[in-house]
Amino acid sequence: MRGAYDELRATGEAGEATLLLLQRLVRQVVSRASFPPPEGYGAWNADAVDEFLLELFEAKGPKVVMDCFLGATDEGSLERLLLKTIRNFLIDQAKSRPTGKLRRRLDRLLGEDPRFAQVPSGAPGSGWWHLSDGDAQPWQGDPGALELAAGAVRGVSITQWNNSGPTPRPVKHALLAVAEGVLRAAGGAVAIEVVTRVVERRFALIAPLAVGSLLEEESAQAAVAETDAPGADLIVRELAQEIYDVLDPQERALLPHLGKPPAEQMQVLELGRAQTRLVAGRVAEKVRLMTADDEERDDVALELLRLCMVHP
Amino acid sequence: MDRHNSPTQQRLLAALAASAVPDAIRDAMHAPVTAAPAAGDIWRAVWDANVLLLLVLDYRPGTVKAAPVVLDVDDVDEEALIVDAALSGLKLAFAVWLGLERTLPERVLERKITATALHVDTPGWDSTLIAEGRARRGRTVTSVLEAAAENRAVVEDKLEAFEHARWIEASSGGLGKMIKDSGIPVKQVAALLQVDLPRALAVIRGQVPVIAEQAESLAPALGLDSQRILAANPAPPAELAAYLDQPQWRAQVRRLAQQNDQSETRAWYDAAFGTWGLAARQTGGTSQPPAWEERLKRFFAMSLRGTA
Repeated sequence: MRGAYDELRATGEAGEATLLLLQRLVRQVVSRASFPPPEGYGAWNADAVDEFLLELFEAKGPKVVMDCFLGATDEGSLERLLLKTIRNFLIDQAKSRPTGKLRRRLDRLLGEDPRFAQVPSGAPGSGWWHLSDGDAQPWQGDPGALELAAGAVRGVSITQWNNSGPTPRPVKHALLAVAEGVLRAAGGAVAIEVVTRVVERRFALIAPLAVGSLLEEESAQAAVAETDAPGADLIVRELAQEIYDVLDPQERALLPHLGKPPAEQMQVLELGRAQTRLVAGRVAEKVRLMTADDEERDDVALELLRLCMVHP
Repeated sequence: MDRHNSPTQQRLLAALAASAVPDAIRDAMHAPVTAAPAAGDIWRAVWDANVLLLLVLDYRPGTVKAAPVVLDVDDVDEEALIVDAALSGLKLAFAVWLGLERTLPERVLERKITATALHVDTPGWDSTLIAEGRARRGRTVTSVLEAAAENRAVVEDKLEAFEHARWIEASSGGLGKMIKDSGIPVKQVAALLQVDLPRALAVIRGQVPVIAEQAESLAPALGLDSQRILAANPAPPAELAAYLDQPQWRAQVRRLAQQNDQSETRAWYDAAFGTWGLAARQTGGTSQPPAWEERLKRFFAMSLRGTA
């Protein structure tokens, strides 16, 4: 039987060979990262794989096939394109799930905290949230400005969501700190859907799956467990580990080389100039978002450097 | 496949069938390239492992002004224009990254995919489309962690590779001197190259190149690697190099590379020097400039199995 690339090139269709390849690639991706199976499935069995592919092709089929048809030059490049498509769709699927729960959770947390107040029924923007010490007029601005405000809140992160049960204290603190920053920037009342979207985005950018990193195949937990770092106190070590967990393998590999000239960094990553600059920017941004400008920051950076050098 | 009868499989197969590439696009990927790029065309550019769709904004022989096109319209920044499917020629919406417009060498163009309904040579065409509701800008990117930032970086690196795409580096052109310095008599050079005396003299004067087999014969006598001899060849005529840069030859260059299990740039190099060498052998390197189109056709007919 001819390969998927030859099939696609000859017919312009994802036929039997392409389907077999897709099924193999989905199994490969989900065996290496903890993506949840489609709703209604307890595990990634053959039917769950087909269900996932069905959702992918019902949502984006013509684009996926066109992308592969025009972008692949051989079997290897076709596999890389499909892998990227599958990973991105798995991330989109995983990210899209907790939003409803997060909205209800945020609604409840805001209601329990005296810093926040709700516009009373009958008034414009009824049910929207604003700061207790701020204006209650409905906000009608640019969502990009709220995203920037969320990104300006430093030193908070969520690297593990819990989908049920009470919200852990650090998660509660992180959610409310960002919500406060967003509402302060809005200067008025904002719908809970908008607050949720902006808050979720702020944290999902750092840890899209909120269950460790997507790309690494080994447990990062082992990195700290097996070695001791004399002198580093527990808070510093925990925060450094949290940051390490949300760095992808490229970011970990580049971190020890951040002070070096771009050409050397490009060699480390085997990537072009723009992608190398982007990876460096992502490392800096994750560290910035997850740390505050305090005396511990340098210690965290040192511990993070050690982790990345010991387990790149 | 064992599970064709499961309802999920049936629906999946139907979704796959409904996702087929339109016939016109499929046919374009197999058709010979005959026309030069025109403003508003979508072309596929390929160099090494880099593949990108380009919207042609302007074409001059040798160079093309173009902007990259991507089908992932959800994750592009505000420098990209998202164009309705009805105008795209692909029956899908696409994003053209106008902020990443570049002037690229023609040699990166592989084939035309389709013609759009975009009047890219009309000033302000993009703003007009937005005003008409037939296009919109991508979203504002506020963080380097967004997918749009990664997509842009990937495209930028491909464009940089295209900007530096060369199949021949500046040639040292020192082959004639190498032979002279070795002291090998002209008659022996002619015998090694299996050519007549005028042609051997033309090689020594740096007027014509040697081809791969001749470099192999010459290598032991000069005490040099054959690749070094080929690298010392004089540069091929600029007219031939420019001709070979045109996308009409790309398919044959790729076939030559596949047939000989070599890189595409190597195949390009061989095609240029092979064609030049053949032309010089027939003219002695002294007559009127050869008709390169005919010479190239002859070279590929001789070199590609199953086409002679």
